[in-house]
Amino acid sequence: MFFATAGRGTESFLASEIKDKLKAKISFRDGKVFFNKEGINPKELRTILSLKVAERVFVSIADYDNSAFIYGRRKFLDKIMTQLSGKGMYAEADALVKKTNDIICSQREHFDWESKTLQEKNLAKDKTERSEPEEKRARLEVLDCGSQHKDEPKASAESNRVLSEATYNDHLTFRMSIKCSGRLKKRLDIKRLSHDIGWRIEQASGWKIELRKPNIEVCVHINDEHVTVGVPLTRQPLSQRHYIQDSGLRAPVAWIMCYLADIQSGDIVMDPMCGKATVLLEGFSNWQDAFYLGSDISQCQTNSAVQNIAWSGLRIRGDICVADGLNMPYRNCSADVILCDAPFNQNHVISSTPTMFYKSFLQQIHRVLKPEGRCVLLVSEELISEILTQVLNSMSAGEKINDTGQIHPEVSADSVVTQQMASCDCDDSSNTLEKGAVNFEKGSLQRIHKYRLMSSTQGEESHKGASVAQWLASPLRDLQGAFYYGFEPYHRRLSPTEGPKA
Amino acid sequence: MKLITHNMLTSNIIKGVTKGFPLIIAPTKVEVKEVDFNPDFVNKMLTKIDYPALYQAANSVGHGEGLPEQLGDDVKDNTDLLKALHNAMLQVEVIEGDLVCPESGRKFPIANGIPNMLLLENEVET
Repeated sequence: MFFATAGRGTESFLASEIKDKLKAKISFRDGKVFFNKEGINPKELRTILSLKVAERVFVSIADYDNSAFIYGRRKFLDKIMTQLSGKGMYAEADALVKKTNDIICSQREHFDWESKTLQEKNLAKDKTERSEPEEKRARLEVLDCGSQHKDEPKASAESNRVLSEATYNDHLTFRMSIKCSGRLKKRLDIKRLSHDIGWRIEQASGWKIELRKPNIEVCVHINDEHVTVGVPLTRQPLSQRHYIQDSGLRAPVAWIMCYLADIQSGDIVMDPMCGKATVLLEGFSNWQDAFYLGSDISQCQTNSAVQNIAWSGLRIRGDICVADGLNMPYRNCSADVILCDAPFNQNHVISSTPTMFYKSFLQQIHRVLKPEGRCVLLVSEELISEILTQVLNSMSAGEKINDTGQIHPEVSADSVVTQQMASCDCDDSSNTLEKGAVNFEKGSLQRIHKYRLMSSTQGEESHKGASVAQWLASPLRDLQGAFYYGFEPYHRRLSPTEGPKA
Repeated sequence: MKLITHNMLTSNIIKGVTKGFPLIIAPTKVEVKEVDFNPDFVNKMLTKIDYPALYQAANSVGHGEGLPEQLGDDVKDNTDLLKALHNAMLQVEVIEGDLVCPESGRKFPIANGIPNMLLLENEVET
């Protein structure tokens, strides 16, 4: 039994990805997707390691309904200790972790061979350009190896990882990581619990506790409904792509955007506000037969986009321009797909209200997209119904442009397909949206493009800022925090009444 | 900047410019960077680009070799021609130079392979 964690709101994508790629039986809840795969072969394991929406994949040690045990400390402790005493699942986890490690080591050799020269070439440049949080992350990763590595965080982090993954002995070492929420939080002494459970696992599994540099981590997540215990298959989250150095957007979200855009061979894919080109890189790494054109109004961003692309070592079919997303220098009807993380994150302020911004942005998109073009926008949940109305308005704007004779989008008399994606914990907004979509279809409006609005704005900030250790320790809670963290600042800043801050 | 990108760029965002296409390329540094050849991709791209503009652009950067002035119907299976087109569209890159608006003469600088298409406020239609 495995389970994979995913950002809030993206579970359903992960579930269908696992269903598609592994043909496994799945069930999912609250950030976790469970799937069963007996007698897994190396090929399937590789497939698991290449899941795109997953944050981390765990071998499940225990997972049970906790609701009957939350009222008594004693009861709870008895239950969890019994659950963790069986030997079978540790043996399974042990074998799987070792197998995975072998695969990763062989893949890394392959990857290193390909990109080593590029990395070396860029190393010096990276050091100065690297953003603060990433540096922090790298530093934390190498904290144990002493100070002599500090000058080259990247290289030493890499070698440290290879070293620790390559030297798994017969006896794995582990440390505990317990996350507890809900009723039991106040009643339990986590430190003691961690000690007790650790001892119990040591007995049952034959692994050794090692606090400083363990091979693996045993993650326990306790809340009022469930207790889930698992061992992550990999030390690095799957969402950390080897081809993305400095991400502006979480890679799984970028992947979902590309996936929703249904990129076809020979498509011209544009991201008119590409930032560091995360979406384009994610797109190119997975759908190589398209042309990716990114532009951003900020030269600083386009420079890091170009660096990111160079660092990835991919010979990308694509280009980067400096251009205003609200005044795109592209020919009419030139793009098959437009992807955009439009609401931005904390770092970017738009010069007008969101309403005005989207009005002109959607008009531009409408002009540049081909007939039957697809557009996927990542937008804030609060704005989704407003944007939907504007999608309607941009339709009529398109017709106006058509009258002037400058562009001739073939207008077909279908209905617009709008879908809200990736929003599981805000039922209100999905209701409004569905209503909107229904009106859309009933109306006599003409379809020109397909729009898909994704509204899961989980901030990547938590991921960047959090150390790897913290991240390991809290695959779930962090993401929840991230959801709100990524959301509020944007909203606070851009609320129409306050106006944007300079 | 690859020439396929050039093929999509226009300066009609400038106030008063109606077509703004194709932009004139005034290169000072051009490089050829290898990209994997995929005949299907090239064929599909041919349906999306403006060929005369590509032809003109390739010649203006000195990499028009092997390209006919007009494309015939036999492109699809002509591997040599497809390779030449692949080269012109995807491998030739203008690293430094200018793009020039054919109507207003406005220059857009290309630096480090990145064209800067930003306009001043007074150049934009409001």
